[in-house]
Amino acid sequence: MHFGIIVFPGTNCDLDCLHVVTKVLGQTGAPVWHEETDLSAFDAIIVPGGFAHGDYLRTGAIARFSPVMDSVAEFARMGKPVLGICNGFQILCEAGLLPGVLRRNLSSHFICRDVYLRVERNENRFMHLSNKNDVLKMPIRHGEGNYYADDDTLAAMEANGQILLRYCDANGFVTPESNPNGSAGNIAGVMNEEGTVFGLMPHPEACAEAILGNADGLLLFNALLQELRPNTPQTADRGLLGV
Amino acid sequence: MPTAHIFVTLKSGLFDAQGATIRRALHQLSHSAVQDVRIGKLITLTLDSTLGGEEMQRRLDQMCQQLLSNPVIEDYEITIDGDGAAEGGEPTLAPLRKPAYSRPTLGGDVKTADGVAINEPFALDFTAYQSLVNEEKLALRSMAWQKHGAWIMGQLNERHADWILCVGGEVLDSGDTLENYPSEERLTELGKANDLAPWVFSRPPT
Repeated sequence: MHFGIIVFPGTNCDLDCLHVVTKVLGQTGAPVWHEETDLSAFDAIIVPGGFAHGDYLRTGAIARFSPVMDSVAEFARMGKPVLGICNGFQILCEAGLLPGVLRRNLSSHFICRDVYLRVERNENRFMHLSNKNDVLKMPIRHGEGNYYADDDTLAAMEANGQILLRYCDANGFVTPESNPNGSAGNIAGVMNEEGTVFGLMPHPEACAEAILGNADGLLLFNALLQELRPNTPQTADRGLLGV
Repeated sequence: MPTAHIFVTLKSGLFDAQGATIRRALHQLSHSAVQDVRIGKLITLTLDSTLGGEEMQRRLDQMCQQLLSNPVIEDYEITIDGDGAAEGGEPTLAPLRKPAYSRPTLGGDVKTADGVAINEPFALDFTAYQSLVNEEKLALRSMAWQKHGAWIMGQLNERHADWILCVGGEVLDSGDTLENYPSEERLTELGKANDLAPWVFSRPPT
């Protein structure tokens, strides 16, 4: 599987993603400069974290007009998976590929720590290797991760199964205390209606190797591989995922 | 060259985390009159004068909706000044907002509605105090610190207080935490009862 990793001026998690894709997953991948427009070589696109265009104006606001973004939208329309991580999530929201917007953290602080996430839906190509209500641990590092969408949008997303991850405590309870940034409904990750674009604030690429003490992020990457290679046996047993 | 000023503000009803943080900081600096703070952006565009009137307005709207604001959470307001609006036809937009008030410099500069300079904040009657805008109240508070700073510190220290409430140079209340600041209603009530301006002084940050 060939992964395209979009690089804007200010992106800084591109090499981490490339490392996971090539060295951990054993797949191939290539950086894609934001001025390029041809994504035909790729099977999946990752919009990684960072500070695209310095986060000027609003996070993701300028990046969404980079030439590559039209191609990313077209890529998703063709039914291929697009994964947005952190700043990538913000960019996909600004571009209208995902509903809602990420606002300044409620505390106004930049937060860098591990959080727990509850898997809300697994009947999709991104989370199908997890069980519903599984608790994952992943790091967040952001200043603008406070997810907002109006009530109607939230209700529609809930009904369509687009809310895939919520911040929770270690036991899987979604509580106000476990909400690090003020996100509506503790939302940490959402998918578009078509099930092709997924954005999340936590960094799965930063927790995809046992040697780093946490490989929960691999569930997401492996899910992408297995979606496109139906012969690979699916498993909900996290112990068997090359961890 | 016409200049467009675009004010981007958070939609009302949405919680403003930055604003709340700044409000807390202002309160710690003893500006307890501040009820709410909302943060926005001012974006200034210098335009060439080939666009005018309705076309300019249309294009600016487009810029705001595409890039300069996010309609999910933000509102925007456009004002234009310079010659462009007139040149292209009917000037459809209001002139740039002028700040309503410029901060007075310290000392004798703040005047009552009758034009009498205020030299002693403690002697100011309540009606005159109420007619002042916030900047004027702040300037008078600074004046009180300048004139009576040693006395204020003495009163704070004597009570081991973080703040004191003074009416006419008499301390009516004090507290040792910034959480139990006297409310605006309480200040109004005490000011009315004594017909003197109520002042709250808090311990300056060390």
